[in-house]
Amino acid sequence: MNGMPAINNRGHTYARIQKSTKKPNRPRPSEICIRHPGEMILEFWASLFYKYRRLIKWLSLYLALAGPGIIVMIADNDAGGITTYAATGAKFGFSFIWFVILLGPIAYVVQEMTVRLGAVTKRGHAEAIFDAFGPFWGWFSLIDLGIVNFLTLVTEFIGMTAALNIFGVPPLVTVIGVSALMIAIVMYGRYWTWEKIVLLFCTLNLIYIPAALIVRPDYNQVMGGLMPAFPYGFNGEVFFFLMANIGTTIAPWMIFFQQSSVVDKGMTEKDIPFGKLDTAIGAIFTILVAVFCIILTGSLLFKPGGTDIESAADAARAIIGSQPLVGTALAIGLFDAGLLGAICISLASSWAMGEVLGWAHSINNKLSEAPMFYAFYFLSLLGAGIIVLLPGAPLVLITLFVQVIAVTLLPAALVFLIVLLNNEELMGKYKNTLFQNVLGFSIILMIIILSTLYALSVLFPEVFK
Amino acid sequence: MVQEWIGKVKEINHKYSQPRLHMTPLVKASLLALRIYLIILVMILVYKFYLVVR
Repeated sequence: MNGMPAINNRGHTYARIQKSTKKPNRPRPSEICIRHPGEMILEFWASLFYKYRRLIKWLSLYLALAGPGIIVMIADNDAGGITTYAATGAKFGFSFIWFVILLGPIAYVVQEMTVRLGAVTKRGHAEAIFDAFGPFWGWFSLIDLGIVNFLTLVTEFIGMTAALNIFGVPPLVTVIGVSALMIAIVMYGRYWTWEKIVLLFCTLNLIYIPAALIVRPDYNQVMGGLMPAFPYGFNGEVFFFLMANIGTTIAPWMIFFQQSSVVDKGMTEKDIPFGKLDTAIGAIFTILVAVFCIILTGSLLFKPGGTDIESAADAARAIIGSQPLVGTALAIGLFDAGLLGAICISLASSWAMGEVLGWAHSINNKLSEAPMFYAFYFLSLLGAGIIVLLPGAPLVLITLFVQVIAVTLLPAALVFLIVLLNNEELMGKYKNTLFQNVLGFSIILMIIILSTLYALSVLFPEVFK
Repeated sequence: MVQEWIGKVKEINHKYSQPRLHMTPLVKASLLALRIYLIILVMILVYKFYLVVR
C-alpha cells in the first residue's frame, strides 16, 4: 500500500480503524510528571465540588419533575384507605403488615408503567385506550372508570365529614367548605401551583407515623407481623379485608390520574427516570403510612378475637378518650386523606372525559378556556356531596365495598395497560421487558384469584368457615 | 341537547374507528370474557352488600 490508506469495499479507511485500536504507548520515565501534593489536593476538592454541583443540578431537576408519582401514591391512602387500614389493625392486629408491605412494590410496578406510557405517547390513559383498542373498549373503560371514581369520591366525602364531625363540624358545612376549597385550588389556573398545594397536603398524610410512635407499640409483636402468615385462616372476612387492602393500594383511578398528570406536566422520555424515582418514593411513603396506621389501631384497639370498628372516624373517637393527641391526629389525617383523594379522583375523571370528548382539559387552562372540564369537576363534587348528606345511608359499608369493587374491576384496566406497554410501534425502546410482563400478569392473576375466592365465600359461606 | 351528545358520540366513534392495535378474534373474545366475568363478580358483591344492609 506504500503509505496509502487501505480502502475497504464500504469506503472506510483501515488506517482509521488501526489508529483507534492501537494500544497507547507507555509514557517514558522522562515523561512522567511528578505532581505537587498541593496540586493533588486542589484537584481532589475540585472534583468533589464538581460532583456536588452535579448532585445539586440533579436534585433541582428531580424537584422540578417530582409530583405526579408522590401525589398519586400518597393520595392512594385516601379516606377509604385509612378506614381500611384502621379496620385491619383493629380486626387482625399486626398480622397483615407483611401483606401491606408487599403491596408497595406491586403499586410501583403498575404506576411506573403509566409514567412511561404518558411520557412516550403524550396522551392520557383514556385517550390511549380509545386510540389503541377502538371505541367499544374505550367507552367500556370510560364508563367503568366513571362509576368507580364517583363511588370512590363519595367515600372521600364520607371520610371528610366523619373526621370533621369529631370536632363538631356539621356534614353540610364540611361538604360546602371542602367543595369551595377544591374548586379554589384547581381554579388558580396553573398546574405548578396546584401540584405544590397538593404536595403540602401529602405531607400532612404522614401524621400517622409520629402518631403510631407516640403510642409506643410492642415492637416484638410488630416484627412478628412482618412474617407472612394467615393466623385467622382463609374465610370470607379475611378475603374481604385482603381485597380491600389491595383496593386501597392500587386502583383504576390511579392509572388514569398519573398518566394524565404526567402529560399535563409535560414530561418527556428523558424525564422517565425521574418519574420512576418519584413513583418509587411515593410507594415507600404510601406503605409507611399504611403500616403505621395499622400499628396505631393494632396497638390501641385490637383485642384477641378482633375488634370491629365502624370507620376510621370511630377509631379516632375511641382513641381520643385515652390518647387525645393521637385520636386528634387520626381525625386530622382522615380529613386530609379524604381531601387528597377527592382532589385526585375528581381530576382523574375530568381529565379522562376531557381527553375523549375533546374538551380543553388542562389545569393550566382558565375557566373560560376549559368550561366543560371544570363543569364536570364541579358536578362530580356536587353529586358525591349530596349522596353523603342523604340521611340513613350506610356510609361505612359503602366505603369498604367500594374498595372491593374497585379492585375487582382492576384486572381489566391492567390488561389494557400491559397490552399498550407491549406495543413496540407505540413505546419503542420503552416497551415492557419480559420481567415486567411476568410481574404485571402475576398481579392480575392474584387479584382475579382473590376476587373469585371472595365471590365463592359469599355464595357458599359454609365452605370457607 | 341529546341530539348534540349523540352527534358527539358518533364523532368520537368515527375518530377512533381504526384502532391502532389489531386484535385477533380470540384475543377480543378473551377480553370480553374477562370483562363479563369481572362484572359478574361485582354483581355478587352488590348482592352481598344488599344482604348486609338488609
